[in-house]
Amino acid sequence: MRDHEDEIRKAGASIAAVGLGGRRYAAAFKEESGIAFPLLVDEDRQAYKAAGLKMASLLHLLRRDNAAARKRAQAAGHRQRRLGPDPLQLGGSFVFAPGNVDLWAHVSETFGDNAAPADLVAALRRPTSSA
Amino acid sequence: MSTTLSATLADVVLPDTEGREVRLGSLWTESPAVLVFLRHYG
Repeated sequence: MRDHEDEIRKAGASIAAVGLGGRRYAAAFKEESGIAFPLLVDEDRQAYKAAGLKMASLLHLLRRDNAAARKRAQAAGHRQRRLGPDPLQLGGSFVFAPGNVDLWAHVSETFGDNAAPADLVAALRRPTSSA
Repeated sequence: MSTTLSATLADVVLPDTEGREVRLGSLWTESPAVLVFLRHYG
């Protein structure tokens, strides 16, 4: 998402991330990665649970889609760094609008199952209809 | 009437890396927000 921050802002949205682990760990990552958007810390996983985000298992390493995701990540130059406090916790990406409107959601099914930034930006550009 | 996920998350308060408390709903009060839950840092 860091590489798409400008595009997201141009589409009229802000961006924030939520991570596990302690605040110092998060602060170090923020500094190393150079991300400018807010990074929030959810040590107790209360937001992760409220968002319905899934937990993986070690068996996920045997999934074909997981192997494909790892290949894509490696091809893009990403590498596995230090794992956080709960390496089986999966992530997700959401787009929310004023009035607590859910515009878009991606809940990861396995390791490496990340939202495509293009899909996220497309959701921001879609006209919203009022209920 | 079902509650949206954003409504469910809106009242969750989390600290940022500076220790400031942020109510998640404040992120999308004025304009849309992308909220990314990381699996791990890096």
